[in-house]
Amino acid sequence: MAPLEPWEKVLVDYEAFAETTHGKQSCETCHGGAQSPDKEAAHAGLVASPSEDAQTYCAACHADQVSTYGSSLHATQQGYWTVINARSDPADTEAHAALESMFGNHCATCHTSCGECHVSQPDNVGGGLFTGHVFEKTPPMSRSCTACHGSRVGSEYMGKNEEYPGDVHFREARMNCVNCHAGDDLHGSGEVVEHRYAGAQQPLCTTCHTAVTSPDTDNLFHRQHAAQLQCQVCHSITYTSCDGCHVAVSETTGKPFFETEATYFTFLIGLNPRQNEDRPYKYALVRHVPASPDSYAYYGEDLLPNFNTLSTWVYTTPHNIQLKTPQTESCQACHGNTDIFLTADKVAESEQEANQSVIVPEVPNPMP
Amino acid sequence: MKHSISVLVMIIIVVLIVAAAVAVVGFIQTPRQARETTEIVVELAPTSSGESPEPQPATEAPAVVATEPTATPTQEPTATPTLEPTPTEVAVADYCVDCHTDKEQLIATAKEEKPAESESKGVG
Repeated sequence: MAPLEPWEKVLVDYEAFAETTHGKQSCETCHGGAQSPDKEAAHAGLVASPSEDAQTYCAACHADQVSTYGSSLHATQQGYWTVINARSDPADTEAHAALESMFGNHCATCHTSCGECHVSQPDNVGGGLFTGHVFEKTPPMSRSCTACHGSRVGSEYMGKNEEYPGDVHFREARMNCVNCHAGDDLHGSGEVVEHRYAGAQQPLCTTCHTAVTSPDTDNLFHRQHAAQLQCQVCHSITYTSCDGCHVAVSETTGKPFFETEATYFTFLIGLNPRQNEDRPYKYALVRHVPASPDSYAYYGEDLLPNFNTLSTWVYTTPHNIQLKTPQTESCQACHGNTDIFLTADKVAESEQEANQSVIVPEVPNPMP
Repeated sequence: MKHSISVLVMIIIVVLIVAAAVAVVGFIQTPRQARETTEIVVELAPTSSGESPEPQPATEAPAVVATEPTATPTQEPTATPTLEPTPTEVAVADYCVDCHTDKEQLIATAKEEKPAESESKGVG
């Protein structure tokens, strides 16, 4: 997504905005500042992003959303902390102070306010109004959702990974993110969620694909595998994985930066590391995350002493669903095919211990 | 004798009626004459200021000039309060809206953003 020019970011389409409910308010009602022809004077006390304080500026009309949003992953980024806490030593207060500093510099930039989805591009990608200040009930997908979720989800969904087609829901049905990820899911439930894969699966493929996923379906493959395989195991295609992300603060500019060692294509079936009643499958697709024991070394030594507590190949749901994939061509495409299973030989020596829970010890036998 | 008295009374009545009539006619004509004078003054006023400094029209002219401006403010206050609510609402947003809808002005007043070269490498 090309960055906007400075003027472009704040250009208001007043004719359109004035027609909307938000346009009935004066500018100062939400943004403060003062009436003056002088820019500096007009901007004194300006509140550039009012919805950062949603309780004050949004709750009067959007009480339901505001009451739960604070607990949502978009607001809390709890997923990061769940992982960081598991790999670090909670009793080491000095280490945790360093990790909090790291989080503030590198992870917290992904925090999202109401306005960063509904009226402007997220600050993390440069900001800027996307429709002349007209609020969008449905955030524009490429300027909002995939502006942040772009390198993996966006590329997969819209077919930006060379040689690999985009998701059938996008290519043929032109569905956008909120067609599956409803507002209620994105705004949170009011309960603090530990991770994006915590709790019931949402969305569920079976919500729409009822006939072929019912127990008495005519589809033999579905009858045989539904309880054993995550839907993506058969209906996803190749996706990206990453290695070795390290973060630091630039000595020249003072700005935080990261460096990822490698990004590469993978398609690997592992043992389901999140097997529970909500995700009962034995097998699930796994993606390598760029975590490494010294990812945060800039902030201190040995900040992740319990690194091996979690696997580096993690449960994933690639957004490149197809009706027909290499796996659906025949039984032998999977049975006996060691290439597509995460076997021990595909895991780095240093990560063997961390990934014991996902490494497939024995590939399913070939069909007779 | 009696008859001559009646005749005298009649004459007096007639004289009074005539006098009254003359007075009434005179009264009616006065404003008409006044208007005619005013019209003349109006015509004279510009001339007097331009060409010949005639004291008489000059004295009367202010009265006329004063009459005309009074009409203007009497109309203006009536119109202003009626329009006030709308301009006031517009005025509240004026400076913000004026600037933020004007591409050229935004370009002229925008702070230059130096494209910070990111030191990040790889996929985030």
